[in-house]
Amino acid sequence: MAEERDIEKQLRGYAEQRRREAGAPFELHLATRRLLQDEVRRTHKKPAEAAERASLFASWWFRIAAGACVVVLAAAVFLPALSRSKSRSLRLAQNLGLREKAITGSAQNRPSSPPPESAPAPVVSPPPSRADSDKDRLVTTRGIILNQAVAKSSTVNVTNAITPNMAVGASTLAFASHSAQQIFFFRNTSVPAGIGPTTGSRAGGELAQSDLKQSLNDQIKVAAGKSPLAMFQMEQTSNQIRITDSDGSVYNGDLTVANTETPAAPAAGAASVPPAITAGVPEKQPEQSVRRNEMLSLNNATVQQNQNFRFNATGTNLSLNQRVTISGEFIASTNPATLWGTMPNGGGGAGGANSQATANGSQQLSNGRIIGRVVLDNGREIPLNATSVAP
Amino acid sequence: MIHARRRLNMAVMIPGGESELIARCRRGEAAAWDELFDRNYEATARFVFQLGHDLAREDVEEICQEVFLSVIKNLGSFQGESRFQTWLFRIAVNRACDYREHRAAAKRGGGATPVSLDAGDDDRPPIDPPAPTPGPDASLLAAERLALVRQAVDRLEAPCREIIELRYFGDLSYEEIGGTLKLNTKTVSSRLSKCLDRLEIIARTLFAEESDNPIPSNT
Repeated sequence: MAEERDIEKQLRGYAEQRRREAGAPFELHLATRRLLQDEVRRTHKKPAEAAERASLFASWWFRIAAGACVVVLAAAVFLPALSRSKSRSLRLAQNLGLREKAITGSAQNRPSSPPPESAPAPVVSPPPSRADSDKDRLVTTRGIILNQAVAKSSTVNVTNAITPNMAVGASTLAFASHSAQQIFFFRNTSVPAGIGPTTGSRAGGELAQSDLKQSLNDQIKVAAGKSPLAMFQMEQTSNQIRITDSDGSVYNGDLTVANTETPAAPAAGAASVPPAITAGVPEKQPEQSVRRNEMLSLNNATVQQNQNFRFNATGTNLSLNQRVTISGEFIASTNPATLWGTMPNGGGGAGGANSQATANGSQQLSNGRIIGRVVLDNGREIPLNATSVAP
Repeated sequence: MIHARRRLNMAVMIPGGESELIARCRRGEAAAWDELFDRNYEATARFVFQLGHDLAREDVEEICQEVFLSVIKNLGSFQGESRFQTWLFRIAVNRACDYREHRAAAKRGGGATPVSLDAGDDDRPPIDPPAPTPGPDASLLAAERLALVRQAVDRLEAPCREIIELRYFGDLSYEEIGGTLKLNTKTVSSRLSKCLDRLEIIARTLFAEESDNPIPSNT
């Protein structure tokens, strides 16, 4: 090791002397330490926070991903259910829209000068000629003839009930023989739905179209959810029927022709003659048969040959979530005069063969009353005694 | 290759705990910074105290505060090529130089705090500011010698002054000086030798001037 130079010794001596002069050890003053720590926070805060955020995200990303998966699964489970309930509402709304369309069509076909309200008897339309036989006609309780050919989808107002004092006998409606779709609205009078008969008010006067619609809407609202087929809509296309309940339930079935003997209306006061029911009623409904027999005796009616239609339909009631089987009979016209007027082939006597009756007689069904029964899946049986009502 | 050598040097020069402590300081941990201050403040203050014969303890504390503020702001630029204390001493050299230049400029412009002529007129005790230098009896001779050595050092160029201060006031080895100045050890040795030669010449001149101009006696 080289010998230390003189200047080096002087430097070391100077350093040693200064260290001695320094005295007590230097200590970082508290205020200086605080100042330095503040500067540390200012300078190194952002990188530390960013690193903390990154580490926080790294620790939480799995939970976030798991939560997102749960949300997606929940959406996948619940969205189909929501769309199903929406489709139910949509179906009912479409049915109501069809009904309103039918109302509009019938209103357009209505003559500009309706007969006076005081007319006691229904206006009998003139017998149709052969040339007009292919036209479907529709006769209301007021005796207004509606040309079915003009309105493809028409609505028939039939206000009939099993109640004897209801004046409904003169009503006539017809099923179209061709494949054009017809829509009818019915109310089951066997179901105590709190719906008053609309016959009186409607038979007595001409209601405005909006009143009619509002009335039916109210009835549907009241009847909805109380019993199956309390208020329903029947669509007929050829021999296929489709019954839409007020809660949106749909029952599909078919229509067959049955020759029945029905009491004819008396010569006088045809308007007050109740519908005649003799045959075609299911045997499992004795109380209704008794009612019909009573009505027969009350009306002292004559028996005439007429065309009735039996139908069977099945489907699932959405409110009860049960399978429903409907069987019944569509009771045809009881007014021979009206029947004459609406029969394209010259009346009921013209039909001999059953097939002929199906072809021609299916074009006309009067009074739009349905008698039958509704059997639920759990064995419960509901009598069906429905009358056609205005839409 | 160069990077690998630097890493090797860093591993040799930086103690294991120091690198971890610096990493914690870079993450902003207050406790780490406290530990860093406690480890280095005393050595830094003593080193700064040697950088000027006219520096009082208050001056040293002020310079040290500036030094550590610089460390906080520039810790990211510390590459680990030397010991942290070496890097710290180099900052201290620069800050002490700045401080002394600033004070010399203040003296040239007056420097003293202006005192009102009416200061003693009220009931308050008269202003008696403390003297910035040690007492006259004890420090007269020492101050004269220290002043000559220090003046000689101050007359050196900056590179020579820095390397001499780091070597003799900071007690740093050649390797540590080479690490902080990014010089080879042999280069440090040769440069230090040359700087001592220059310092010797300057000091001799100063002592000769002092001996040629003795203090005049009253007799």
